[in-house]
Amino acid sequence: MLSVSLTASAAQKTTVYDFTFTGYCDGIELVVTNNFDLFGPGFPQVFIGGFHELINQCGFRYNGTDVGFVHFLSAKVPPHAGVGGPVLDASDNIFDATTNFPFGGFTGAQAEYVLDTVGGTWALYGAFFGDETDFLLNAGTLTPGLPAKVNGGGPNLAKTTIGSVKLK
Amino acid sequence: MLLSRMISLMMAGISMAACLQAQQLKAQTPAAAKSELLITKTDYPLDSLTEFSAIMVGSLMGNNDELRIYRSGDLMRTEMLDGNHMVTNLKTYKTFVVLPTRCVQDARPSVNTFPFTAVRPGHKVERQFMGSEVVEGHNCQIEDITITSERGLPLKLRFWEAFDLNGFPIKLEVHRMTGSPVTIRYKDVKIGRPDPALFQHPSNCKLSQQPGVKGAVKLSAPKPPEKSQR
Repeated sequence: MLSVSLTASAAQKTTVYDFTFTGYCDGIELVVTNNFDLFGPGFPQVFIGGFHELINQCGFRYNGTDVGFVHFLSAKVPPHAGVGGPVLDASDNIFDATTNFPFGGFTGAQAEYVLDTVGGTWALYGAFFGDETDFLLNAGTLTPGLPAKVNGGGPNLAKTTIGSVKLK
Repeated sequence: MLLSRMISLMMAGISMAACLQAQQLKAQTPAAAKSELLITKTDYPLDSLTEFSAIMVGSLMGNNDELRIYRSGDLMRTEMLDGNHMVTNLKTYKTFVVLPTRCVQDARPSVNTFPFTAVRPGHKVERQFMGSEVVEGHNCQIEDITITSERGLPLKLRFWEAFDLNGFPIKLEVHRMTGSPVTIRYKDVKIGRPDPALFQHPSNCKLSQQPGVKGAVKLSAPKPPEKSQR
């Protein structure tokens, strides 16, 4: 599940996680660091930056952007299956990246992906109205590695973790 | 002379008022009269729709997928694109996510339970009858719904409620934060109790670990939120 692990400097710790959402055309790359190069010593390896892969198989023009933290999560919340433990939790702009193809746009919808890299599961949450009304949008299992590049696909055929996209 | 003119004007006024009243009565079609009955059934029009199955076309996410939904009492089953499904309790919002090899739980409702989960505790619902229209062969009343929470922005919905389906909204528009409204449609709507087996979840959907147990996160009591100024 862990595709690449490297150390950029003596104290900078970086781990790269690449996954495809099983059964869907999209994937995610999350880079987890302790941000030593930026913040100096004293911080755990919990800072997440990365991207939502939407080009290779889904056929969109843009990838999404991710930012978040590693943290512990109760067993009652997906993607855990009654165990509990650390998760990669990232806010993601997949809605904006896939809207109004090929341009992208501002939808006002916000997505958050939570990955359990040990159990190999994920869950997706979303909010649309600017209030406390949030939803569980989807959940499933992870396949190691980013989606492979395919020819002939396109957004009109794409089955993403937020569904099939309506093209104008 | 003056008296006779005054009497004429009064008679003309009475005649115009009577004419207007007649026109208003004529405009109130049987469908409109019926819809008023429908509108006063409950606070939120979907609360009375507790037993049904349907194919949901599109969702809050703005997609165009066709996925099956089922409701029986407080339980609602929603299917996902990868063939898995979720079962949400509409009162507690507890959701079971049934995957091929495991089952997980969440405290939030499945997105495809919307608009049946649009009204949360403390929300206020305002309803306005907007007319009637035939949609895909169903005679519908159109209703605008505004849901207001204590905090946040009001949610605006428009329902096309089919008379022959107990007011089931075979079409609805949802106004999200920005952009044009998202349209959701329902087809193959069947009013009646679905198979109870559809709402069961596997035995491997374990009960949640309690806060304080090793591996679980203990959360401190949240402070009451301040009312936002927007």
